[in-house]
Amino acid sequence: MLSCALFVVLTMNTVYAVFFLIFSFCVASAILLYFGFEFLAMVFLIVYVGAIAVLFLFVVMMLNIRFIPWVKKDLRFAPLGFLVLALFLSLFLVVVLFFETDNYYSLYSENSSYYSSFFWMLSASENTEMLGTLLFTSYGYPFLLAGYALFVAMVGAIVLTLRYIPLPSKKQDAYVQVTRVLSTVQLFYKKRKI
Amino acid sequence: MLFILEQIVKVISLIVPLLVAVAYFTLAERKIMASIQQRKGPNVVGFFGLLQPLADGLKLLIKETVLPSSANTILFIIGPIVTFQLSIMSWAVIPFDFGSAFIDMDVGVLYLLGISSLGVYGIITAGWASNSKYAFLGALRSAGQMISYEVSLGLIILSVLIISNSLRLSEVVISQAGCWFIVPLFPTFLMFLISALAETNRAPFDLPEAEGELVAGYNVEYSAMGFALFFLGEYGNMLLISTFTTILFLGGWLWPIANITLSSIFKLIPGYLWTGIKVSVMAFFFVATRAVLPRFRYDQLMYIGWKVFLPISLGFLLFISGFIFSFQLQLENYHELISRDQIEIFLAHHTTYSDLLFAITGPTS
Repeated sequence: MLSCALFVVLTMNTVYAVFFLIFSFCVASAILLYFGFEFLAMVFLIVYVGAIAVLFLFVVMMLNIRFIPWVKKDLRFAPLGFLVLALFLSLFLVVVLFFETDNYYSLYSENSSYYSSFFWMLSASENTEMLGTLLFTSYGYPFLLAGYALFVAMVGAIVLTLRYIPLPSKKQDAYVQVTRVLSTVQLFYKKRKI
Repeated sequence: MLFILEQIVKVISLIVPLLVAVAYFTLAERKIMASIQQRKGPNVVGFFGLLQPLADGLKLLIKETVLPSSANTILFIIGPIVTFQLSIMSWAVIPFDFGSAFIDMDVGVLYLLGISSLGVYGIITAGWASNSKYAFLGALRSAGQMISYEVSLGLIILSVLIISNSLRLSEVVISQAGCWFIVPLFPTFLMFLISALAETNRAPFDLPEAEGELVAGYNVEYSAMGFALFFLGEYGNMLLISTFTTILFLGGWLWPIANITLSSIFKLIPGYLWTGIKVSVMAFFFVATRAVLPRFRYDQLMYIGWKVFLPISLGFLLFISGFIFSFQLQLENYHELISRDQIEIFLAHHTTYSDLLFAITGPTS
């Protein structure tokens, strides 16, 4: 995965870079699958590879840029990149070390009627079910917040691209077309009457 | 070593019948279209033209492979391989009969969705790599169409999954034992059929290969085996989505009516044959639509996808989930507890899924 990510940056051909990006997404999904998070792996595959990377590929292919020459200036952002990387790694470490609470277990131990069937649940539950239970109970508000953030982003994108088209535009209205009385039919009807 | 050998035999025993099925699907298409248009169709090679697909395959195999000099060679070769491989990969999770899937995955439906969303890459790669305007336009059209119809397709599948309460394909089939999902979900079934036509780039939505405007779409530059792989992949996808429809709406390997007297007759036909019959009906539908309907315009296609199917399927999903929640109709999953005999007994005597759960778990559930 790391080598794929490296090739994304190093390759000269932009389309190849996107393909390496896709490949690194696939590998990430495979790693998730290896750890046993089937649901997350599949969602990762659908969302990132199936939707986002396709749009990237679309844009890159349309731009008609084949080769980007390697300039030495490109390295000037490298320290910043490493700083961001270090920040995220430290965040990850902090979460793993200090916030290790298992919400799924606490969910069932709180409620005594669930507790008896807890071991059965643990053996039988798929991780789709586990994720759903967690998302809609103990992480309900963050989940809603994430949804709201996505919604705001969507509205923002629509507002940015909205253009007002002057009113008398030629537009096909399927309903009007289907429901109008056909002139040929009328003619036929009249002829028959005579 | 023995394990690896077993796996290889299993894979081959899945792929070879699949390829034969795909080959004969092409023959079926030609024959059915011919009979609709009052022609004879292929009738020279073999008895009633039955060896025609083999002859076609041989012809494509021994033709010369042309690599355009301006094409990007690596991606040009990879494109058809990816398409073909993905169309074969998705068959791994399909259950043909009770317990006869290659792998019965926990997240089988998601796997199928993921693989079908990857299918865009083969086409878009081919279109870009052949470095030709027709191919590129065809690829862009095809990719746009597949992505936009995947959304409504996903929502329709979700409304089925909310009822069956599982992502496991065999569980989806078993939960239809009382009543096939085509009955309560008939409007979504119709939408699913139309979206499936668009998703597989079939007529009336076969804009990517509109002969009049784009010659043949993304596979103009391909000859011989590259073209054959695209062809096989496309028809494999069509069969796959027919099977998927069968599993989601037509009750997979189950017979239609759960009744004591009738099921003693239905039992004579094995489960995989039931699947086969339903899949053939779906495949016939695919062919018949191609023969009957004219091609859509591209903006009409997008209009139907985004402004008609998406809102309706979203509304239907909300309706279904609200209905199930308010009437407390959630199904419990006991897939590990159900055996084949129990299902057969249940099909003969009971009518609903909750009766089956009652028989397995007792009155506690």
